[in-house]
Amino acid sequence: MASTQPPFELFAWGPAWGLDSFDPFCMSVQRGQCYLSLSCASWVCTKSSNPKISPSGELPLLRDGTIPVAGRANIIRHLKRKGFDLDANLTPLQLAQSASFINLIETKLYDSLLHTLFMDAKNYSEDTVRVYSKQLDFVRRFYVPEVLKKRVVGRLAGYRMMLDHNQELVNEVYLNAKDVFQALDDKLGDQLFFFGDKPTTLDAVAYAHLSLHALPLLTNPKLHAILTFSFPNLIAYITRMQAALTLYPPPSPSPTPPSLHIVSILSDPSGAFSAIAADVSRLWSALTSESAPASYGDPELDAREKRKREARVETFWKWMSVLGAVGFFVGYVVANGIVEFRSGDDDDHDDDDEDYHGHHSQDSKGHAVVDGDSFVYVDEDGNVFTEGESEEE
Amino acid sequence: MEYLTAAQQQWTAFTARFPLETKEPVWTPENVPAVSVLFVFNRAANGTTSMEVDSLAAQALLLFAGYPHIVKDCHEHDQSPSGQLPYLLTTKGKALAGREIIDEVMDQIPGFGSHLKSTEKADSFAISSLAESKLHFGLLYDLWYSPQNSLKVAFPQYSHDRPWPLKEVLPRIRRWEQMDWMLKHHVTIDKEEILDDVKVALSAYAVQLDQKQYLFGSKPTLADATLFAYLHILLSTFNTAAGSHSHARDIIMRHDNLVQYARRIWGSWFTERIE
Repeated sequence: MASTQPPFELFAWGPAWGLDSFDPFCMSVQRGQCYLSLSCASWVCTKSSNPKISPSGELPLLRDGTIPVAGRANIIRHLKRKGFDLDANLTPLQLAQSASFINLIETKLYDSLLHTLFMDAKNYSEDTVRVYSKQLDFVRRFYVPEVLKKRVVGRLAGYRMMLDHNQELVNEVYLNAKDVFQALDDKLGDQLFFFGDKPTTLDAVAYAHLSLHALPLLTNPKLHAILTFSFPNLIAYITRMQAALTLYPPPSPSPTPPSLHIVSILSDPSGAFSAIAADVSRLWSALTSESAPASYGDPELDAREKRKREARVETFWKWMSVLGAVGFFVGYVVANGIVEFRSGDDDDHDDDDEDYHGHHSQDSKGHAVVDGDSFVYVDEDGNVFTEGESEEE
Repeated sequence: MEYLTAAQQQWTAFTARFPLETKEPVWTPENVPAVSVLFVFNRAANGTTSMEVDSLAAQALLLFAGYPHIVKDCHEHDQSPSGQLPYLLTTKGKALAGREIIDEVMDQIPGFGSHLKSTEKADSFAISSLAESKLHFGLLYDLWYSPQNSLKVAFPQYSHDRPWPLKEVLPRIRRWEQMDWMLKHHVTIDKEEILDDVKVALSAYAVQLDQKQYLFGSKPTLADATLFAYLHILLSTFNTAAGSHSHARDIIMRHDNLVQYARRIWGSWFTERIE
């Protein structure tokens, strides 16, 4: 029987800002952005927030059966060997140019994206940390963004502030980004794609990176401003690629995780806790995720989506605070004994009979019988009997 | 009071044994040089080219563009405004480093690179980045990561002007800085991955060059300056020290057109020392 499992499984960072992933290297390989969809391969995407599953320590990771392939370049090379080659029709010179432009995008352009996301204080605190918090579990979301920021600071340490042609002080990384945008614009010209009428690997990589640069949803969208005002041709290219990719087959649905069962909680409490945390995380993501894909060149629509999302979050926290207050009140009242809950019948015992030691009960004649250290019985005639004599009566 | 006066006299007599002599300053910078000065990392003895790739690329760029300048040796990276050599002291008194040197050349020599079309300019800019990232990583791996190469090749370059113990400490600090740079750009240092990238870059350059004189025709461009710097450093640095071996050099030797290209530029532009 032929297996229905798709041959490729891609592990990549999750969605953000209306895109399938916030990591451009994952997007270069993934759907909606690229190589796997453009090459019409059969594949499934599994969201992951743990780069340590990859042998190289970075996502994306492609699993072909039991073979793990890590890194964007290695994944694309592997897919080409399997027959999914977008560059089959390119000449050797075009292949060399493609490798050059891909390297240019993944070095200088990627540095400008890192600067925008991590070094810009507003973007980092209001956008980047929020995106990573949605992807990571409860503990890691508090330290992983800072670890990544430290690495980015080291990577971008060589860039300085300098004067541009208008004698304004700007960071060198944005001057480099403008040069790269200009080079891409010149290379693209009036063509549909970089090398004619068919998309190639360069289109997959360029779209993945440029779509993140063109984000209007950031608090300080500097790269979006540069692209929109100076390079409308590239904005049109991004929109064109976005529309074109909808014509390609989507990924197969990823396998759903097994539902939580009481046996699993007892046998594997830590795993059950992780599953619960994942469910809460998914609920939170559903409440706060962007429902519509990123639309370039329509800031009003993006602002409306952002306001809707913020309203949903505000309502959620309002109800959570009410429930929290009620729960606290009930817990306080019960814990301090102000309200008690009892179960079973409550018999009214005569407290005047508490001169006897022990427990009071009634015999068949209705007279009190004491089950204690001493026993005295008085009948109707006033005769007094001690323990044992009442039974003879 | 007499006791204080006697103590002061004794102190004055003691300090008079160590008179202060004011000597002339060792070096007074010129206000504005008559000709622009390019400060590069140390050149080899009687050599014309710097031993560092960034400095050599700047030398090549200024020569190709015909920018009037003189070259001086310097071994202090902190002299540069960017913290890395080279830097260019212009006739207007500005100290320029990094991309400012390229912008200065393009502004002062507008004819440089003007023969290229817009798509060729884009290709030239893109292909330069291959050397600046992939070949640079390969060079750092061969020169600094390998303990044997770093001891026999890199350390002598950074210690020959220094007294002991600086000649033992400074090269090791430099090595740590280069390794740190590599780890900031790659999560892991994988030899196979680095050498694969070097192969991809050199193959692209070999295809772009083909049998032409320069990468984009008969005139050199910025891309040629960058490529020549890396080829020359890789081909010449590991040619002398016994026991050193460069994997990147072996890959370059497989592309005969690149080797001839490096020799041609060396013979045409760098045969005479420029002071």
